[in-house]
Amino acid sequence: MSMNKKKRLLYLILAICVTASTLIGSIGLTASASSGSGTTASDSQTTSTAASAAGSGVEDGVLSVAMECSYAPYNWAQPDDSNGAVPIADSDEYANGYDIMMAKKICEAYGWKLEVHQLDWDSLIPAVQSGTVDAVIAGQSITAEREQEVDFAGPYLYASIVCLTKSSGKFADAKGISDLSGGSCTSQMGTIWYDNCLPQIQGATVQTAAESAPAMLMSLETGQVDYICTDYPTAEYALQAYPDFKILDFANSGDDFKVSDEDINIGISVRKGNTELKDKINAVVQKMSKEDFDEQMSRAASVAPLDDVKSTDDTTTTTETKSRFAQLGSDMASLWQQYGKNYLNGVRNTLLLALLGTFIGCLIGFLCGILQTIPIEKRDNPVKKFFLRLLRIIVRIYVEVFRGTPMILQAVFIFYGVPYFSNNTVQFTDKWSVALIVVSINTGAYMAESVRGGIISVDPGQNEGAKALGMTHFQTMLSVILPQALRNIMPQIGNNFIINVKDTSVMFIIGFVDFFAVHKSVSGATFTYFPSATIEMIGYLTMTLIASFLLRYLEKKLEGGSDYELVQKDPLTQVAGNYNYPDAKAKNTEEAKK
Amino acid sequence: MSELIVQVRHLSKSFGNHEVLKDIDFEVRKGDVTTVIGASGSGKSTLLRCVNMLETPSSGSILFHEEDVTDGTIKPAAYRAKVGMVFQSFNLFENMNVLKNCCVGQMKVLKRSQSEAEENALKYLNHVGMAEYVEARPRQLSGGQKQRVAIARALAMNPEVLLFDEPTSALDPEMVGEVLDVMSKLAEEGMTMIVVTHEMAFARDVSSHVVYMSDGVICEQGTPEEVFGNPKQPQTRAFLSRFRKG
Repeated sequence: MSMNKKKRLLYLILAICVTASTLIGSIGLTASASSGSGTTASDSQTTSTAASAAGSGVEDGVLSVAMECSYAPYNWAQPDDSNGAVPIADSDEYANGYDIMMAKKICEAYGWKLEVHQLDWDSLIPAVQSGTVDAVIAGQSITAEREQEVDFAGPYLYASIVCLTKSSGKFADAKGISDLSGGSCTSQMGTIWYDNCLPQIQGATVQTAAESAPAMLMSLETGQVDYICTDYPTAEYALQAYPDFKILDFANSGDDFKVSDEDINIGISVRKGNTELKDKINAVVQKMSKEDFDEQMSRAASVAPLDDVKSTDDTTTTTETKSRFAQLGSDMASLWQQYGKNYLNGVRNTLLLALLGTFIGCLIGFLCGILQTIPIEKRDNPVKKFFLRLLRIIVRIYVEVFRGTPMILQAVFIFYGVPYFSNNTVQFTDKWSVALIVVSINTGAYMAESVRGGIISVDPGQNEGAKALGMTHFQTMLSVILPQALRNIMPQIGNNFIINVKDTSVMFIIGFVDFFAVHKSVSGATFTYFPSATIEMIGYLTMTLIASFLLRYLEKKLEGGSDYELVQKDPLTQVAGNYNYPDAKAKNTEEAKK
Repeated sequence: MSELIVQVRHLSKSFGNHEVLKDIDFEVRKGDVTTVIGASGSGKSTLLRCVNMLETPSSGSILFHEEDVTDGTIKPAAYRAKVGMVFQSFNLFENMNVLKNCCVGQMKVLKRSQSEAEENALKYLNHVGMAEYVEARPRQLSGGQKQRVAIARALAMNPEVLLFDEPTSALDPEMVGEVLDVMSKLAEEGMTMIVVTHEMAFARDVSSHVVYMSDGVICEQGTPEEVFGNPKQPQTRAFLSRFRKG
């Protein structure tokens, strides 16, 4: 898969960013200090320490594992702890599934405490490499490429490769992979299904990979592709969500996908060289037979949340447009009934992160704006001039680096890159603070330019007026220029806030559970895509509309009232605008006569 | 003779290659009302801005109570607090009402308490006839009203000398009078002032000292009677004759 390339690119960007790391450090202090308020209480925050990361990682009696929590029946997130689900760190949700059952089995054998971290698929390997987690149990195939990055214990499941197609489609009767020729297909990004299996089908059009299993199923459901390739557990589970699908299993046909045993062997990855943990896991897993695995998988599938969500009126035909909308409505209602708390939790996290991030970002932006506009004058001494120039250059670099790189990579750089490059001496266990740091410094970089523009747009006469009163640069800025600049850039602050509401969704890469991450996990657990996506659309639109409205209101407030009261002591003074001073006038005219 | 307040010595100012002021010398004593007259572009405003250090002189020095303010021994900000300035374009702070405009300098620079600053501000607002407008914002006032507030703002700092940079040039004709009235009143009360103006009647009637500038040099200076009544230089005569015709 492409993880190697991705990582190389990533580390290249990291190298470029190294100059900016000092900045991150200093800003991070303020950011994390104020992040505590929004953090969901978690007793797990001190488990991954520098000391333990060098050993097997479980010296503290805690096995921390990472998984997507959106990959049913392997792993999924659910709102309660029913059926033996375990809490997810930094989240209100619980994880369950085949992987959780396996993790619990391992923990039971050694008396460890299990700690589950929800991470994006592409972040799983960096997480175990950086020591953020001890192991990844997430349905990963044991491939040679991955084995260069991590060590694998297991296999803990054999997942044969199958295809899914529509039972009414033209490939429904395919007997072998040669029958699939001429069709278009896809699979999940970064899997052996996509990288190894699909290319084996002669004459097939392989489309761009889907970002997740639900997305892959959606592309088949919507007719974008004729068939998809996945493993048997996923396919079987998908049938429950999409009864019109059919599994094409070519196992005994002699015309099957050519895969090595390693490809269908699903393993548990640990950090390279961590043989101690690997051996301990193997000791548990190797005691189980293939039948044990299959039995555990069917147990997992039976408690998966899909059945509860799929609405009862499944019998209605879904071919008519009208009934599809009705179906969407009832699916959304049942999703909301079951996951409403999760969605609201996501909304809370998203709003809090966007609000705090925008606020801190604005402070950073204002600071940069003030620093950048300190006048450098000829008569200043050379040391002061040097520092002022240096300051401008630093601000410039900060703005260009953070405005010029994607926020998603900055998040990866800080969350995984800093532990990786510091050999685990620096570890982030609190996703909240990392997310807040990234959003803040990003917003700050944008706001720095906006503030500079806002300051420039204030009439220079305002500055001279203040200077003429003897005010210093900072007094002038704080009392006169910035309040006016703030009014000028209010629309841009609003823009940034609304962008932040939406763009904080990229924080799923470090496992931050925002509103969008809830969608990923719900759709992964239930394999229903549109109902959840529709809830998200409505949710985001509601948040941004309310934000727009409040911002308009705030702008009006800043504008100040349009009328004022005359303060009268003597009613006659109302004509003061044309009031003349008799004495002076007399003197004027008198002397003029002379 | 009364005490010397501002002395300008061999002052020159260039913008790039263009020399705007050439070797200017003059002095202002306590109670003087000095008007600077001359054609547009003759360097009057630049001279005034140099006196206030809003422009840094290219060479020469400005002495305040015989202390040099151009060599950095006195901080420009501290110096400006003692030298008030009234601008052609008013430069009232748009984000504050009239009262706050007159208080912010007192509180931030002179560290006066709010009540002290407000009391002082009201005294001078009353003086310029704007006391009842304390709650108004600058953009709600007419030009003449704004300029009177600007004068009160400068006065509230209790400056030793007040500079006026063409205070009536941006005003509609019917508002010029109300501002000149205030200025005449201040002159009468003994305020030390340097006024750059095109109002010849004001220069002749109110000032104690007139400076005529032409092409960046002081062409002629003296009492109003000397300069207006008996100009010695041909340029001065030519300049003044344009006003006589009207």
